Amino acid sequence: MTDRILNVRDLEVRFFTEEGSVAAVNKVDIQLDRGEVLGLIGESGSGKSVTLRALLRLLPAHSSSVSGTIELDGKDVLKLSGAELRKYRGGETSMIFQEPATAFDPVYTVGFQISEAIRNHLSASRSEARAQALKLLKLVGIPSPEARLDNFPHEMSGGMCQRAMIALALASSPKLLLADEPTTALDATVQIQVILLLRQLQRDLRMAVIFVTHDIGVATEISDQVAVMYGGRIVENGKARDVLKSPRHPYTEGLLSSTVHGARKGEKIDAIPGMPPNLADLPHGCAFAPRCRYATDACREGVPPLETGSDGRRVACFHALEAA
Amino acid sequence: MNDMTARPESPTKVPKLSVKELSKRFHVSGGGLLGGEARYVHAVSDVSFDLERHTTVGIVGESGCGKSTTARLVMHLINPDSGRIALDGELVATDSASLKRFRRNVQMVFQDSSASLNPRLTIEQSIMFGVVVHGASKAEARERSHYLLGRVGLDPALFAGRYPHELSGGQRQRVNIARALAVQPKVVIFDEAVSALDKSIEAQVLNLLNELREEFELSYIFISHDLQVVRYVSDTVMVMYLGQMVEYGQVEDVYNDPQHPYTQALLSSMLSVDPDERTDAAPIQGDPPSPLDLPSGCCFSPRCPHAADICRSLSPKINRTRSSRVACHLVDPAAGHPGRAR
Repeated sequence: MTDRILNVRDLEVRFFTEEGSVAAVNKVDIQLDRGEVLGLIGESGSGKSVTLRALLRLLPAHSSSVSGTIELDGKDVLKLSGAELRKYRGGETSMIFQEPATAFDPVYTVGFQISEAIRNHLSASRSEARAQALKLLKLVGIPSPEARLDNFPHEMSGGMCQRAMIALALASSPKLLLADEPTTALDATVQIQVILLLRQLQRDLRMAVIFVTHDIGVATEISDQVAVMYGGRIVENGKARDVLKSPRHPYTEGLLSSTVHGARKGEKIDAIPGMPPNLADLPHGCAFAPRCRYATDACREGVPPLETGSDGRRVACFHALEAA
Repeated sequence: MNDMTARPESPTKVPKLSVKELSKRFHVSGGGLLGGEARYVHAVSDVSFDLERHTTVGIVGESGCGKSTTARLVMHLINPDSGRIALDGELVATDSASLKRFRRNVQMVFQDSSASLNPRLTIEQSIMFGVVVHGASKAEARERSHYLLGRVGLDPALFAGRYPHELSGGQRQRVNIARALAVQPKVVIFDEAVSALDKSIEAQVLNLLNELREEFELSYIFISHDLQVVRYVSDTVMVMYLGQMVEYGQVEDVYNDPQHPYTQALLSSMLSVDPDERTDAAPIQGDPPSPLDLPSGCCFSPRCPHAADICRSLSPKINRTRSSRVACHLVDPAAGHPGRAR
């Protein structure tokens, strides 16, 4: 019996713009087991948030196209429509966003919005839904939850609001939780609280999570598995410990060595030169080649495929570094 | 007021920039014609620090702690309620001619790189603007802008004629740095200047700031919520909480041996970068309270694991320990905090 809950193969997202169609996500593969957390790391414009939105089928059909396969618990997500799609969105899969204050509707109380989500996805009476909402607020560790049910989003602090957002996302007992930088806007002392809360809930509920972040520290704290995105593609993927301790893709290596963690004052940081590519104008061959210290002619001619090593580690590089 | 201001200034070593007892409160509501009790946000209360020549003071704290207001008060972009600011030992007057002179010597770089550039000026015009205002000829200003563009890593032949929207965030922030340096300041204040940049770009800009500090013999005030970045760039660091300074000292002393319970909690909230050493428990619970309703006594007492009765009733004074200053009853032998025996 397999524990595989999510299977994404050859996911491609194209946006139609005035300058023609742009591939924002290219040949992305993701395999995720029940109760597993994938940290999706990348810089702005790497395609990480677009990948999440494609998984939730949130992208507008008139200006984008999604191809490939997305299977959640054996169900083909890209084929869903109508009532089935509504059941999937916010039901089997739900999402938490970076700015909780803008994700909530400002004119309804938090309790009303959570109850509404419960009633949409499960058959429950108003009072049952409210009782369930209260239980969820307790679960996410909101102090005096009874009073908080009748609060409007603006009456809550940032950390509190993000906890309420998590309660809302859990309302339908999703199998897959998508988190788009949910702790980036929070203060340091609150950020660690929310990360620990998500880690505990995910373990208790055996929920699969995809956690998008640009912060190596956040990825380290939450992930079982890590995927690094660059220029719309996954360039490295593997167990969090393996990838973060001995990166094999030059971009991952650069990203890890360009943090100031542990750098002595005044010491030059080993920064990656240049800047991330524009998705509408990707260089020929490997997107990272113009910034890569190991690049050769082969890199500028063809895109290196994502190859799986014997240890299950996947790297897309002609000059993959030796694992330490 | 407190003993840091009573410190005699040695005549041989005048700090580049000295800030004393800076305070600002903002009126929020009430107290007008319609009556009601006047309510204030105490944005900055009694903040003092010295920026020594050719060093960097880092200011850290969470949102709403007053770090950005402190920077704006120093620049007189907001008028302080009280406090003194001295540049090279000379008190800064608030008439417009003195302020113009002061702002030439003290420049600022903001977080939002695009909002701080005029969209209708080319990069070159933006950098020249301040130089011309301060009395240089156009030719001289252009020459300096081209030199600085090259110095921050943007080829003037390619970039001088471009408009801000044609640049990436990292490039725009380099332009802002070049513009700040164009008037040949002595002090530059960076208010979350690298926070909006991608990590790989942030590293490049931090390297650049280090080089520029050496080349132009600058002193920096570096404001950030990122503890790792502040540790990397700063010589001394000031930790703020709800508008007040809670700890101030040499950066390695503060990071290696934090004295204030808030500093301790803030530093243990730093995320691990080692998958084998993840954080197990959050050091403190809850959010910082709103600066509108400050708790009585020590403002950190509602979240502090060591809070005793004295903390809830009496605001701590600033104590000097070996090399740092700490606003906490725990480090004050005379305060009678029951946890003192630890």
